Amino acid sequence: MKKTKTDEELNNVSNEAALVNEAATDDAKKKKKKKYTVEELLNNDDIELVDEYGRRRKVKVKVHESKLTKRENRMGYFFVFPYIIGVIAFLFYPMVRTFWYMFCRVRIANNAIVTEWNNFENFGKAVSEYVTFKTDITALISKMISYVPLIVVFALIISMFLNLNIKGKGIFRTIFFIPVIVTSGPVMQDLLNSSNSISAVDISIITNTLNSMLPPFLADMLSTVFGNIITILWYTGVQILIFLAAIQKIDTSLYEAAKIDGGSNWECFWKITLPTIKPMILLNAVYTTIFLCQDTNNNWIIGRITYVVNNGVNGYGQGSVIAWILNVVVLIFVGIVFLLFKEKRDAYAKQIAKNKKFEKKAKKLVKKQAKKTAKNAVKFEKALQKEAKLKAKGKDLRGGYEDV
Amino acid sequence: MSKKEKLDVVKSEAKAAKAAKAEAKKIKKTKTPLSKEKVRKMLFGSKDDIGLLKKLAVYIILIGVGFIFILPILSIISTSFMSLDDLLDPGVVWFPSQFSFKNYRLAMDTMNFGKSLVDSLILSGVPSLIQVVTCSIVGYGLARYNFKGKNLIFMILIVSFIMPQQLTILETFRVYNDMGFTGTIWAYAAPAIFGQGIKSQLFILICWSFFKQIPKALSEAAQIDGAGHFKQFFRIAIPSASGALIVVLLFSFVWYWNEEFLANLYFYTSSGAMIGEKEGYGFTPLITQLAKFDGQYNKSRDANNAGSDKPTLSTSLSMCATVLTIAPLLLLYFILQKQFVESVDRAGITGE
Repeated sequence: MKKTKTDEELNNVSNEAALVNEAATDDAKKKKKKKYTVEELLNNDDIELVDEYGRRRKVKVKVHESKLTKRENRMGYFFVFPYIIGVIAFLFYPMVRTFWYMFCRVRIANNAIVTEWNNFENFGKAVSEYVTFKTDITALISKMISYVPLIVVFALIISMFLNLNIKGKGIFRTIFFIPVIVTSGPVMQDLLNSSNSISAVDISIITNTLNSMLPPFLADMLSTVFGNIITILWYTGVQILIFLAAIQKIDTSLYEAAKIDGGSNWECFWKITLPTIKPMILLNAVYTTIFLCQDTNNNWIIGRITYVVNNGVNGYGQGSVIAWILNVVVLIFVGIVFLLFKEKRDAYAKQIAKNKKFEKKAKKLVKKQAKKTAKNAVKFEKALQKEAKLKAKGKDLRGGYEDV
Repeated sequence: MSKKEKLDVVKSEAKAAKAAKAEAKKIKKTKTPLSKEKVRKMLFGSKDDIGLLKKLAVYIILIGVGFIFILPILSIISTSFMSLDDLLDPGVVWFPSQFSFKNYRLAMDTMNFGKSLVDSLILSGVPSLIQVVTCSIVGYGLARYNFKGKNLIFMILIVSFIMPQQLTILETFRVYNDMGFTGTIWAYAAPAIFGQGIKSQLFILICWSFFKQIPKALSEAAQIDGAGHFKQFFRIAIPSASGALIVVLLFSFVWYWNEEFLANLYFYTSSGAMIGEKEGYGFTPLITQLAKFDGQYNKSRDANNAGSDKPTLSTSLSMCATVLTIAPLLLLYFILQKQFVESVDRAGITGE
């Protein structure tokens, strides 16, 4: 009978099983995963689909794809094929090569590249010959720390304003998006050069007060922020639009319900808007980080790489070292941003996890106790036996053990 | 009841109604004067609507910020028209005493504007078109089919988007040099064909999220009617995703236009000469011409016997070059403004 089931039926069942899958929460993940086929799921009553809390348990299902869908899905490789080639040829291969260059003396002879192992010499050289290495790296990090939150918060505020019921939204959106079109290395350079009209505000007073009040690291950071406030604003074009699109998609009935319950606009912002657009905050923060890191105007390390490759002794090796260091810094920073804004489990799931932990602890305790009692019982038994032996030998027991 | 009587009744009723209305109006007028409460509500807003004062504040902030956004561009444009005297005159801030187009002529000559414009158009147009094709194909493959290793591809997409390009450029540049790609359009086109152009990863993700929204029933119906995989792609997927393709095309164009680092690397030697010149045609995109503008101008001026007719380099000349570089982009933006601004909505980044 099982074999006569059509593919479609099986697919339906597998869809249902997938639903079961989706509905389950993640704390069941920790349990041992076993993959069941659909038929097993149907015929086996032993497999529990519901856990002790009455929720659906996550069950891994081996989905039997029909031959047709399998064959169809193989077409996916065909469509992705160009990208796979690209990844191998333009991403993996160069990455492996630059990784190898880090440990090598690289020279070009007869139009061919020759590499010789040179025992981590490049690392020392790349750092020691790069005089401003420390300052550049700290500048990059402090810039990211100060710029990213500023850009994200500013974009959020502006998008909140644009979301209000005001006229001329379109014009404002158009204006705020102009920098995205125009921004590029040389143009920004020119903007900074013609600063006579841009930074009309005299920031020396601000800088001086900051220097006298704060530790030098913070003061430096803040004064760069004040000095580049227009450039920072210019980086917010895409972020504003992303936030605006996300805010406009929030269900208005949520706000209505909140207002009926007496919530103010302020509360609505913190309790509804912000949690809903949290993924977008992550997206924007990551985007801003990447953008800042790849901008030659902000990231002087990039310029150094080009310089070293063109002019340095063993430029390829040193260049690869610096590039990899930059890569690690960027990845770490993005990772931190990601961890900060990652979706957290909701309160319900948290509570359940807590309860489970507590239960586990209790069970452990009970087990321990049981073990102890069992041990004690054994001891007691042994003692009794000993007693009996001694008694049989007719020795005086000096205690009140005897009941005869 | 005769007709006339009926008419009378109707008339009188209408009259009464009118009178009642007038009365009501009067009552309304007299009963609700401009009370303190109402003024307060109007100014500071109620729960449903923000008040006038708040609105005013919002407008002021938005206009101020908007002004900051276009201020640099305005200042560039106004400076570009200034003559040397105007630049030195502190009285002239925004409007030059007379619009001098001489600067523009000089800047155009130095940048070799006609040729550079065509070069820029080619260098950003061709890779963009290629990117549209490749990214739509790859995005469709990821959205439509479930194959093994799909998640791995997504991971590679995202991680490679985060990584700085300098990591791979060291080697790719060398390989291009060996293969003779540098100085030709292939330096841009070859990676674009294989989905590794400028921000290709982002475009692939945009296409993917777009194709994902197409209901599966459509392609299934087409399948029943006998359409193959390619027919489904060309007849169903592509037409319904034209919005995404436009987004990809426009942004790709803009980003290729603004790419100075790669252009400098691929089309010029380290000493600043054009690579392709020996082979007959060297690309000189506007963006690198702008970056090298100051040096080139001084060079040409020196060659011209200490500048008999050319003035010394001034900010207004550099600004002319900047305006010339960004003007085509701004033109494109103002024509297709809607497509650009709505791109974020359309690209489905925010999730449905």
